[in-house]
Amino acid sequence: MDMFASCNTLIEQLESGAVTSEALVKEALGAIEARDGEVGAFLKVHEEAAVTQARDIDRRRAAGEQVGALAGLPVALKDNINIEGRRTTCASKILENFTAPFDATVVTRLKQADAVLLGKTNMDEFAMGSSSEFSALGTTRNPHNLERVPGGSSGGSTAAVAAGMVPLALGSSTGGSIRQPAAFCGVVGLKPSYGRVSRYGLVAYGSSLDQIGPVAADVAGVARLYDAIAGPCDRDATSAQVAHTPAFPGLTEPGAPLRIGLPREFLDGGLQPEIQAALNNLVARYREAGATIVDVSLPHTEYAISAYYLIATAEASSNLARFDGVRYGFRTQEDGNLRDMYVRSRSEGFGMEVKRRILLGTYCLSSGYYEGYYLQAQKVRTKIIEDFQKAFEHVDVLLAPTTPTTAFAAGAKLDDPMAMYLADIFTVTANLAGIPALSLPAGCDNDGLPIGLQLLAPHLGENRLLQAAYQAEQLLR
Amino acid sequence: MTDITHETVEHYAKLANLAFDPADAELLARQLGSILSHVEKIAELNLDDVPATRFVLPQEPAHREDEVRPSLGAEQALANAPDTESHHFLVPKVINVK
Repeated sequence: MDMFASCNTLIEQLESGAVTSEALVKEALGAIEARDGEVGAFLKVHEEAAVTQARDIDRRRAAGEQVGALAGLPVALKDNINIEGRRTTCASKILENFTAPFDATVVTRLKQADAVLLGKTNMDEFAMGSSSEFSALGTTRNPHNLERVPGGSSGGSTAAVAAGMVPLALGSSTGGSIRQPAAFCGVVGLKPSYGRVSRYGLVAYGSSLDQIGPVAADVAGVARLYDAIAGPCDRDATSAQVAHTPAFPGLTEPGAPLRIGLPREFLDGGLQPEIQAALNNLVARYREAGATIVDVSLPHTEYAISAYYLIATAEASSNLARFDGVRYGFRTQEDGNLRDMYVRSRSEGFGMEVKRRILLGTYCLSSGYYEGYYLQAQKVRTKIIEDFQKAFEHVDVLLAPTTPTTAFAAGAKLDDPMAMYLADIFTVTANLAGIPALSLPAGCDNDGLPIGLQLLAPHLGENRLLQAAYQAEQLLR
Repeated sequence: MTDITHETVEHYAKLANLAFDPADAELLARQLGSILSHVEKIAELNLDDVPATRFVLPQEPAHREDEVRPSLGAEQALANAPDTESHHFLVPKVINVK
């Protein structure tokens, strides 16, 4: 048994009785014990509860009872997703002692699928960052090279899968926080379409952008976890009112030959040469397999980072106003009036990057700047959506690099916010347009660091996207 | 580069219920100036006739029937509060403050 084995193999072994969930969970706990001191993927491991849950699933399976689709598989959750009775910290001092009073919808669905909820993973504070270094509660490093960042903000989830601590994890993405760390850690990560996965119980950052998504070692694992969490939810007003057709059963079907678009704006200079070579290699393999490759243009791509950071920070400044030291979270120990209490609780409780984004968001929503910044950014967003719609008239999926470089050195971008923001340059467009996008590993660079390539599909086109990704994975083997 | 002063930072910090010491305000002024210089790129597009996107789904946000459902009880709702008294959130005095 091996935590690096594919989910398919682990599920087969669990179903045949070759391995028990208890053994699998203990294997995961052993891997965390052995490796997490240096990787720092987890903020909290629920050891006892996980073993108890695993034993219960083993007992039910042995008794011939019906068990869920992920029965007995350990899953790690990013620490901005609520599990009732557990801490949800968002890696922030302001929520360090917050105990969730309810389950997120994705947690309810994972419990129904009999997944074992193993623990909570580290992240950039409130999901604001691209390296997981903005956590107030711990440091996560890249399992492939401990001098490098794992990416962010879901860096704990992708590092946990990459280090073989868990086969599956959930992350969340506002501007690339699943695909970018998946690329840096050499695992598969899917940002579903906006509306596809319920956000009830996910701590909000940029509400018009946020999505929860799966992370796994391979495409099949991502498809299985996605199937377990996707579909309408009546507790999320932004939930797409479209039934979810499971993606996993049709994953290996070849379908019609793929038409793949290469957006030229993603390939204009600045790309690390090995990433360009990995892309060329996959294009060649796809072509050999019968796919049509088309050059496409997404002309507003160069404005995407600007629009993204204006919209995301504006929404964050509004969402994070709720943290004021009254109903939950940290409260200052200093004496003062009510307003002093708000200001001190927030100023002491939030980290610098969160404060920077709240400030930027407040600025671009303020009288006199709203039209030029926030409203203009929402108009740019319309143009970005139109760019994608035009491109998808001619192709099934788009193929592009996930990041311009492989994992950067720890500390390298900490003092330069704009440099950190540009790490998301290839991922933000999918969030702005609300379309699904997936990053998959495509080899390593000359330093042995993983390279990620991403596929993008039209809104609610996850099943075709996962088929294309599965094909890519086979072609690259 | 967009000129942001530490006074500007302090003004917006006040609007956001935040406070910074002078050194952080200076640093943030420089950083926000640099970020704004970059994001101002969107001003070069003429989008006067383009509608703004607020919601990406081809549907209106969903509504459900306004029916009473179980929700958090008072004990649970107060469980995470820093300070409470008899089913109330306790805050510093706001009336008759000297």
